[in-house]
Amino acid sequence: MQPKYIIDDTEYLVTPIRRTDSIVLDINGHTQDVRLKWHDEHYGEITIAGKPSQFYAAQDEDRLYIHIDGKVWEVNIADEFGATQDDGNSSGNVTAPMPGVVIEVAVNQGDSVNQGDTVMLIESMKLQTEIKASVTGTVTSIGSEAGASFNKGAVLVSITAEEQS
Amino acid sequence: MTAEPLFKKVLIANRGEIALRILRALQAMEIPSVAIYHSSDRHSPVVRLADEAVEITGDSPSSAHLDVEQIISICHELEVDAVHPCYGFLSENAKFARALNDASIAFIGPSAEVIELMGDKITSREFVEQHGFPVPPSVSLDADDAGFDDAIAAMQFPLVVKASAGGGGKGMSIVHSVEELQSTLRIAASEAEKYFGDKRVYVERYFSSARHIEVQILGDGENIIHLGERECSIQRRFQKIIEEAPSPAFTQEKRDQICETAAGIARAAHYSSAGTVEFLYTPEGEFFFLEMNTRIQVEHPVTEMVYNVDLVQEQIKIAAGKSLDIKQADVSMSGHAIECRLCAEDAFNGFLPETGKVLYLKEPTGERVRFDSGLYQGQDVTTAFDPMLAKLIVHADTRDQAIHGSIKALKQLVLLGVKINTQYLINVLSHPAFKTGNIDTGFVSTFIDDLKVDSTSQEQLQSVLATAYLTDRNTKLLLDATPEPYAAIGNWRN
Repeated sequence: MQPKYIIDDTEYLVTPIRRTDSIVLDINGHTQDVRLKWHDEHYGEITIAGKPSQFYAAQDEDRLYIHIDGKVWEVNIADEFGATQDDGNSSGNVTAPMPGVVIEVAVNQGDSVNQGDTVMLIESMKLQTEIKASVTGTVTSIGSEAGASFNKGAVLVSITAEEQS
Repeated sequence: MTAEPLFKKVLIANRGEIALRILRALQAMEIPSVAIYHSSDRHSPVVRLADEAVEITGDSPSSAHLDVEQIISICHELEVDAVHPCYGFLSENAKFARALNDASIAFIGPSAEVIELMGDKITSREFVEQHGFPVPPSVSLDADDAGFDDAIAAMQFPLVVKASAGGGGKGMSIVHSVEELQSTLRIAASEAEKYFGDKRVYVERYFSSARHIEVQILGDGENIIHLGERECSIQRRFQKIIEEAPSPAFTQEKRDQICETAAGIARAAHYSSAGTVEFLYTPEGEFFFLEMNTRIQVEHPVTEMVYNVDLVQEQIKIAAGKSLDIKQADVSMSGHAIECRLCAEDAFNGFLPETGKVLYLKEPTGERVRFDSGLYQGQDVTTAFDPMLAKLIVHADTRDQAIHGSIKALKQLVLLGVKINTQYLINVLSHPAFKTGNIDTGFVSTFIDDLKVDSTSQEQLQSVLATAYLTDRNTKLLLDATPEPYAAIGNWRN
């Protein structure tokens, strides 16, 4: 297995080279002598080329959270086959930019809409946002009704683009 | 402590950090407590630590906390004789205060009449203006009224649209042209109706380079004192993220002037409880009344630290009918305090809300470091409630030391599993313009590019990747399963 780690959309490789009382790793092209010592379940010390740093770490499924130097990094674990990235938005799907709640649905299934028309009013935390049609066409389905909550990336409204003739 | 507590039992009608803050005051005063909670908060510290805890239900977690009837029936059932509303939810709801009053339960806050007068932005402005205090130019007509367009035309853009019953940045937006105004009014009215059940909005001249200054008030209806000002200009989306006391803007003369004005406004209203008078302070040194908050505020700890007064305990004593035994001459401020609000949000991407599970939490500690939090390991952070999770307050002799101490404590805070705005707060505190104290409400947008910087050094990247690899459960399994070849060779040779 060759784990890949993704930080802010950039992929990095870490490869074990050999292991004695320390471990030699190829970290994104840099060969380093590394030691890791745990103080407790989440807290430890990592020494790279003789320089120690305190770290805190926690893992949730394929995501690691690492706190070093007063900062937190979110590290996504991708296996060697790589995670599939969904580009979304290629059709007329209007996806949620953030998690939230639907306040008002301004269209019905079957309605014709023009690009830029307001199709929904959503609210996230304290902010209301108008969701606009990404294409001109016909509303084929409505993903969430008024009062329903949704997660980031959920399809709020699907629109079939009008045939250009 | 006297033998007889001030109340038989106090119900805390809130959640999160502020519910825990109120609980601590009740415990210090030896008053029995009741926590109410939605099931999503059943593991929270206030539920564990209060003397009693009762689950409340509703269509959504927030609607449960807004259910007046349900809360009052719990009060009756458990023989509660006072309710602390904290901030948000029912804290500025005059109907709730009145319903409690009718049920012979004390509302720990001002009277329903004062909430109605001062909690409403339109009526409070009229009241303040009538008493000869300064208010900014504004229009408070309904958008459908004749004369609205003319009144708007007479004002200078930009304008700010606000919900009359609003607070905490809800239902507010800035408008730069007449064209923008129509749709903004529609959204503002809809937000106002949803949050406050009151769709009245008003339009006010917007001062883009003013400071947001507020004055803490404490009164029993007769004796009304101020506890200095708080500087609250560092805001994003109209919500404060860093507050400090005192404001670096003032000479002592100016401070006295604005604080006396605030106390005068509270006196005119015969204010009884803790409250806050908010002002806009322009670079020319003018100030205008903005609104009064008739509740304990999120940022109250900075005042508590520099004045060494427990505002919540004073609130409780006043609600129990005691007269305020602190005179203006008794109080003076000492040092400088800064509060940072820790919010679940992606500060580097439009402050969009973040959700997740708290996998690990280590709170910052230190002398004169206060961490007000309701956080716990295992907590699911959802969008059901406000994104503010905790507050860090640092007190020091000087502003520079308070800034330095805040940065140090922010770096000590470890919260894994939910993205929060720690680095952004550090960027603000480290910014040269913040350090000079020359700040206004435009700070976050003026320095948007500087504040976005979130760089990772090559050395940090290597530490993070090596830690990731070696703490990754998959690697741990792999390493445990693989024999150590070099160790084995060593054994062979000897």
